[in-house]
Formats: sequence, C-alpha cells, structure tokens
Amino acid sequence: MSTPRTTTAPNPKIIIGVVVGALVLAAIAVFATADGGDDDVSSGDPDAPLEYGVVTASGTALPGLPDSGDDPAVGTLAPSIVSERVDGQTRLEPGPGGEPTMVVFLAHWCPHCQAEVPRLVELDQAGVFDDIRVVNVLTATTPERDNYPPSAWLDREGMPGDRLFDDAESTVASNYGLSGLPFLVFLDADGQVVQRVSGEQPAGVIEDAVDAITG
Amino acid sequence: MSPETPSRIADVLGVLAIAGALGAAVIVAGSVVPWLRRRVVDPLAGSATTLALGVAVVATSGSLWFSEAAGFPPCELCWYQRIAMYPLVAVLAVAVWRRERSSLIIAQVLAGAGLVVNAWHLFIETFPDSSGGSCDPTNPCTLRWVEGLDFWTIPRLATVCFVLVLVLTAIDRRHSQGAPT
Repeated sequence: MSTPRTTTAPNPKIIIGVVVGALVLAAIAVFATADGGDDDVSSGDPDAPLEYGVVTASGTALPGLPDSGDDPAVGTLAPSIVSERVDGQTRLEPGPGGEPTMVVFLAHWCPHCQAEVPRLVELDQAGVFDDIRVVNVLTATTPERDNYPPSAWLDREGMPGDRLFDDAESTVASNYGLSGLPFLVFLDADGQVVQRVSGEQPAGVIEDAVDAITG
Repeated sequence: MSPETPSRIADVLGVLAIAGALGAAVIVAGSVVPWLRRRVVDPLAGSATTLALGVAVVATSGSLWFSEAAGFPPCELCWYQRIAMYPLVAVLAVAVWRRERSSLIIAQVLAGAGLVVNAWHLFIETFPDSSGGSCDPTNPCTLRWVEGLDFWTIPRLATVCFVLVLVLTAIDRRHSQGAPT
C-alpha cells in the first residue's frame, strides 16, 4: 500500500508575514484613495434626473424576435405606448392612418448602440429618414453604468427623432419583443410590423427597411 | 453604503492585485532563475497552499460582496468563474488541513479551468465588438462595473487570483513528500 504524498509543513512566520504585508498594503490603499473621488468608469452623473418614463402600454405585445427563421410579429399591429415624464409625454400609437415609423431601442451603456447611432445620424443627414418618423426608445437605463444619462449622449451625437423613455422594468422593450441591443422595429403607415432586427445593422439593411415601410 | 464604496473597494483590491501579480511573476521567474528560487520560492514551500487558500477566500468574499452588497449581478461568464473559484476555498482548506498532494491537483484543475474562462472574459471585455453585434439587454459580460485604480476590473482581479492559486499550489506540489499517488 502506498502512502499518500504529503506537502511539507507550513512556516507560520511566512504566512503571518504575507498576511501582515497584505493588510498594510490594503490600509495604505484605503488612506490613499480616501479623498480620491469616484474613479468608477461605470458611474454616470449622480445629479442627473433619473431618465425613466411612466409607461402605459396597450394592445397586444409582440412576441420575442427569434434567433433565426421568420419573424412571427411581421404583419401584426404594434402595441401603443405612452411615456410620461415631468417635462411632457411621448406617444407611439401605431394604427391605420398613421405614418411609417422606425422605432430604435438604445441603451446608453451598450457599445453596439454607441456604434450604431453615428450610422443612423449619417443616414438621417443623407435624407433617408425624411419621410418617416423616428422614435428612439431609451431602454435598459442604468445610472450606475457608463455613458449616463442617455439623453445627453443622443444630444452629443445629434441623433434625430423623438425620445421615448422606457421605465425601470423595460416595459416598452418587452412589449416590442426586444431580444438584443440595438433593436430596430419598422412599422408601416397602418402600424403593422414590417421588419424587426437586433444588433448593429449596416446602412444598406436600414435603407431597404425604410424603403419597405414607405413604398 | 456610499455610491463610491464599490470603487474604493476595487481600488484596495487593485493594490493587492498589483502585489499579487508581482508575487506571481517572481515565483514564475524563480522557476528559471536559481537565485530567486533559493531566496524566494523555496522558503514558501509548505506555506504556499495556505497562502493560496487566503487568495481564494479573498476572491470569494470579494465576489460575493460585489454581487450581494454592491448589487452588481454576475454575468454568465462570471458565473462560470465562480463555479471554479468558490470550491477552491473548500479544496484548499482540505489541502491545508490534510497536507495531501492530491487536493492540490484538484485545486489546479479548478484554477486552470477558471483561468481559461477568465481569458475569454478579459478578451471580450477589452474588445466588446468581438462578442457579436448586439448587447444582452440585461447583463452583458462586456460591462465594466468598476475599474479600481483606472485598471482593475472584476475579471482582471480574478485573473490574478487564478494565477496565484496555480503558482502557489505548484510550489507545494513540487515540494511534496512521500510516494506518488
């Protein structure tokens, strides 16, 4: 029978020395950073008003966008949304007699949304959105995360369109079946879903979708 | 809790991580530099597993604090790394108590698996575009909750912990005595 291999006995002096060294380093770090301010990159402006809306949704919620295959939401009427804030309200009320609409779901902290917005701004400057309404839904808003507040971000970028603030529970996003960010929903003049896409999109895809809802 | 508290905690952990990274580098260098091996690495023999246990305890405590006290929910890759890190506390405690070499092998397998997942987490955290074209709307792995000393994100702290556990347990494995298991 073999004897299990064992490790050599520990040296208490070394263990105590390392622990004391770690505690001293930690203490120095605590004192050194005591007045160092908040270096947290994910923090936003703590004094900014929370950018949520009080959301009222009506109509039938759209199913989630599947990863592949046909989108079951195509051809169905999109739900109506009213988002109220102290400074007013934004209404998204798809229905007959309306106008073609591109609904853009964005999160301020999402790097793919940050990459998509300049592309949308370029398309707007090229006149692609002249004949449609653009509604930017600011969703998944989290003050503790990077690039907060989202309205200041869109101001900086010069993003066109109305702004609709989602609530903390992402009610608007869940009503439109959001699966990833950014998320674009194209509605025709009757308020029916023509196309939904998730993730960054090349300009050509967006132009084709706009043609489809205005054509 | 002050809004700055998580950032301060990350700063403190960042200082410890710098010390840990330097220590790990010295130990690795000691495998090729005889002088370093004699003066720094060999004296750690027998104590290295206890130090690795300390690293695992600090890592587990820090992970739980960030999720339960600071309110930073773990992303999917964080959960996989937790699966590797949390059992290390028990495995290394047994290794310290029983002084058995076999426990160190289990610890190294766990730490190695955690380090592999951690490497991918570091990559997508540094290059978020590589994680695909869209963000998880709830809790993406690319999100940096804190950045202690403007560098130490939670995955970077985890890297140091996994590497330290690996190199410290390697010292005691090499100095184990008795018949092979």
